[in-house]
Amino acid sequence: MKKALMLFAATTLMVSPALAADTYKLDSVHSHAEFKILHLNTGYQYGRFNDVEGTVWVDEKTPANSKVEVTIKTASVDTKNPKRDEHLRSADFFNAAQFPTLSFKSTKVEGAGANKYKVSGNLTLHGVTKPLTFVFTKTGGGKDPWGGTRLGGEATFKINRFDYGINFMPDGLGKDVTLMLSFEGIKQ
Amino acid sequence: MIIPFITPLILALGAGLLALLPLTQPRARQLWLFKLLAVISPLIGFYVGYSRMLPQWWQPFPPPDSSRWLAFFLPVFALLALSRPKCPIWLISSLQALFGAGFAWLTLTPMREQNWSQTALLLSVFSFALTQTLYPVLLEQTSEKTDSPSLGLSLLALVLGSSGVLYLQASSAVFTLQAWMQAMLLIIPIGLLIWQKDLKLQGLFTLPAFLLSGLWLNALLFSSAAKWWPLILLFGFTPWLLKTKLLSQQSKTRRQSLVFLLTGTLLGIVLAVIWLSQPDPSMYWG
Repeated sequence: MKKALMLFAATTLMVSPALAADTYKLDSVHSHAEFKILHLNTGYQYGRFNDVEGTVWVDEKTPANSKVEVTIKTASVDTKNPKRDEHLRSADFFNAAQFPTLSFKSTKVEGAGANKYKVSGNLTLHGVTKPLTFVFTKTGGGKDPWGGTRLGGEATFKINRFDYGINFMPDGLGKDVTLMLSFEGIKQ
Repeated sequence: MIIPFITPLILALGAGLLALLPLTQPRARQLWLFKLLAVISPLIGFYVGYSRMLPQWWQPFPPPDSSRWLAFFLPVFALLALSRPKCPIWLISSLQALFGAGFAWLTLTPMREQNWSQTALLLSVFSFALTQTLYPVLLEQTSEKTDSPSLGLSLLALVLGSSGVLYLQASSAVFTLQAWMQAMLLIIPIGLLIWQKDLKLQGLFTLPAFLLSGLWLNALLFSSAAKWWPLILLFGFTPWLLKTKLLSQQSKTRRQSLVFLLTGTLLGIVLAVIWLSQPDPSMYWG
């Protein structure tokens, strides 16, 4: 019985990559999810989501053991105009009543040079899940003044909003949305 | 901003009017064709306009976004509208209630997933099914009993247009455009009723009334519309004013114009009050 338990524990450790990695919980005060979109084919409009949560599992020696999970509350959209935010929350865009969150879960992480990782996974937005790949850059890390350990990173990528059924105003707003994620994670 | 907003409206009206082309042939001007086109032309126009609102003419089925079921139910209600003159009213009304309940059930998908109580869900489905079944029948009877078929449809267009303004207030331009497209497209059955005197009103309210009540259900669930705003649906019943003593001595055209103007003014006042009572009464144009 003891042998079987030990074998089970060893097997679990081998097949569960996240267990070998360090776990960092996103510090929502120092994590940001911003976006920009072309308005009337003229100027870029910027916005952000104020409620970002997630966990990052990092194994720098074996990147394949790393993992990313981020969840953002769509109702927290903020474009410094309350009326526009209300419009973005409505069924014209995010339909926050039906889809309160957008999320990303990685399925594969590979090394892509010094402090860079190629992250592949699934982005779920507006009820549609699509595969997405982006390059994640580690921006820093180390001890913080409160005795904890932090890791910082960022990623920028584009998505086609029409792919996710956010397709109102095809003439008024660009189809490409650039998302910029920047975070600090606190080691657990 | 205005041009992307207006294009679907112009296209909808253009396509709806183009669908009337068979009537340019004098031989084709049979009563059945008038009946068919009074329902089908606005439907064609609506789909053409709707397809311009979104980048693809097709939409995934089933739609992931519950606020997009409306477009899929319109052909069903067009069929019911066309069957209305030939089938007993109890049968058409039962089918309307059944499909209306199905539409409401599907639209309420997120609320089912977000643990709304069974009572709240069933009450919402029942209320919607009842409203969208009774509303066109009552509008039709109002128009018939006051002998004002084209006025009844004109007032429904006015209510649709005003509802569109309220959807804009509630931050949903998608619902606004759908309401305004339908309001504009009512020109077609109104014109056909004036042109062909033998054309009956039966069934002509079915499709626009379903669209209007469906849009209100969506607006209440997926936008910031206030719960009392759908009361403006009652403005569709103002043709009863034609029966008042005050108007009875006027000519028919004058009486109808007065009722139309009075309804328009009252709706304008309601919209102004709603707009001015907003915390920040500034218009946002996207």
